[in-house]
Amino acid sequence: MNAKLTLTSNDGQKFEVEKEVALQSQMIKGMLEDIQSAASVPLANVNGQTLAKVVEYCKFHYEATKKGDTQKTKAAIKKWDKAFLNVEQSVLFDLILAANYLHVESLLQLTCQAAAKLICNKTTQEIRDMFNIENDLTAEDEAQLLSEIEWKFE
Amino acid sequence: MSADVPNLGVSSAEPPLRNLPASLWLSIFAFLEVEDVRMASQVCREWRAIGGDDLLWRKLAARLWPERTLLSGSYGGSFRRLVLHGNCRNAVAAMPLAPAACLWRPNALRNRYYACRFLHLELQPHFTDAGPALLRLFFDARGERDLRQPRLTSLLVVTLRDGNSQPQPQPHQVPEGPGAAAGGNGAAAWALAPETLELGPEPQPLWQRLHTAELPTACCLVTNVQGHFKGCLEWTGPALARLLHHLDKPEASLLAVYACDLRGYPPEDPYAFRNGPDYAPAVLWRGVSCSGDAFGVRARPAAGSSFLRSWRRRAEYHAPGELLQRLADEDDAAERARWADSLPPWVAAREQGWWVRERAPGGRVRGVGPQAPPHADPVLPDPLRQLVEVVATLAGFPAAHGQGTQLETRHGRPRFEWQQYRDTD
Repeated sequence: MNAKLTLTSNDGQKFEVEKEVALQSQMIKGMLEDIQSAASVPLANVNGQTLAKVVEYCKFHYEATKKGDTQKTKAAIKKWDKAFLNVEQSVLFDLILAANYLHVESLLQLTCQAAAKLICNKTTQEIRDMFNIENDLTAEDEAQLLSEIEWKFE
Repeated sequence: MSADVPNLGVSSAEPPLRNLPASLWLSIFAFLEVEDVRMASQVCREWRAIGGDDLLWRKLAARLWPERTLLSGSYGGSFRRLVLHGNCRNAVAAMPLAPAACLWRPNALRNRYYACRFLHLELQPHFTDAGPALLRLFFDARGERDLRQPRLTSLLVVTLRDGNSQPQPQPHQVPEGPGAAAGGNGAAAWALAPETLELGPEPQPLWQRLHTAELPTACCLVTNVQGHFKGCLEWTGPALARLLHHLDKPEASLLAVYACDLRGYPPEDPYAFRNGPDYAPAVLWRGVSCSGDAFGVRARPAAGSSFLRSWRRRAEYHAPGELLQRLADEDDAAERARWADSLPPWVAAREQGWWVRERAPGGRVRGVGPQAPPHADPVLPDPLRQLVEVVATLAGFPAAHGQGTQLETRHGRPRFEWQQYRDTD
């Protein structure tokens, strides 16, 4: 019962979690199907800070789904998710990468939605400033872009 | 001092947030609105490629329309084109209307019960590459033998008011029975289904705020037996243009009255009301000037948004013609379920009189609808059809000719027969 699993980040931090919690990650699930006796999983692409957040997320959602599916818990989960995403941009993007690598679908959806919120209702220049993106489109490109894409609406 | 801004220091030292692979940016973009995607694809080359990826548009489309209507084949295989054109070749937006209803007001026939339920409102407000602008109202009308044909059904655009002004929306009451209705003057004891307005003996206040009243330009009945009409009414051409013009105002409400021609009201002779509207109007859409808290209104618009602006968000999407087909395929149990909650017990108990379909096992179907034999498809002789087309063009409404069947004929010959009504102006 309640077998434990040790997750190790790329900077050597160790997180001991219940197996059930870790199984929310499809990547770990697949790995455990191959090596059933594994007690420790090294995660080369995730740093300690991010992994701590991912583990926090998985733990909470594991507990929440165990409690049942009432309206109240759903609202509570939503509230918790919102607080969970109240992080810096760099952490958010690390989380997206980690969720993608670990294949935690719900976390990936959640973080992508949060990232989309950063982009929406902004002009092109505002987006560039926010993400430090250089405009590598030439004037020719931009003209072509406007002409070739028929941004036609009803 | 420096302790105040450690976070900023860290994040600016980080490399720009471009280390995300394109596939993840694509997942992020999938949560954006179309306008945001347009902005984002002008940011840099990489994002421009993402914004042009059809997989992204596939995901955007999946958020907007049901899966079965996402057929990019209608748009040359491009989901981007499908999204930008509103998927109008594959999907129409329809707003469910239950439990709106229209009830007969007992003038003389106190023992009888007539009711019409409006089920869906389907609207394509613009001319699209898939067809003309149209508004369709799906209904199910039942009653005793002399139930009227729906061709004189009126759609009204009016301004409803709150407070003590008339007419007031009436709460749902179940009438006690024919005996009770026969006593007194009848009108007070009669039921009004949720969201219907009682016109009252002097419906002047409603007519004073009437913007327009329009008759349907076409009709398709999937059930056409004595005492039971089911199908859809269509408004196109100038009639639709007038409706939409008035519906664009935030305070405009949309009402429907079954089988009553309400154009030109109020009549000059007040006596004419006696033979005038004898079905109570059903409120299909409530404008912002009326709060409608009294009885749980389903479609309540946000402040400042007209019907035309907000209906899309409330609509369900269906394949063209799907609703009509579904209406035709309904079995008796589904129809009974629809009526079960609103039918007064004394009417429901009168099985033989009310459920006409069982009363007439196939015998009274008048050649319309899916029960019709296959050779009953109406094919006008060629010279006659040409004449109809010429007359229609001369009369200035070429668009009205044969529109009703257009969507249904795409996958073969017409399944349902449409009756075109003459547009009076």
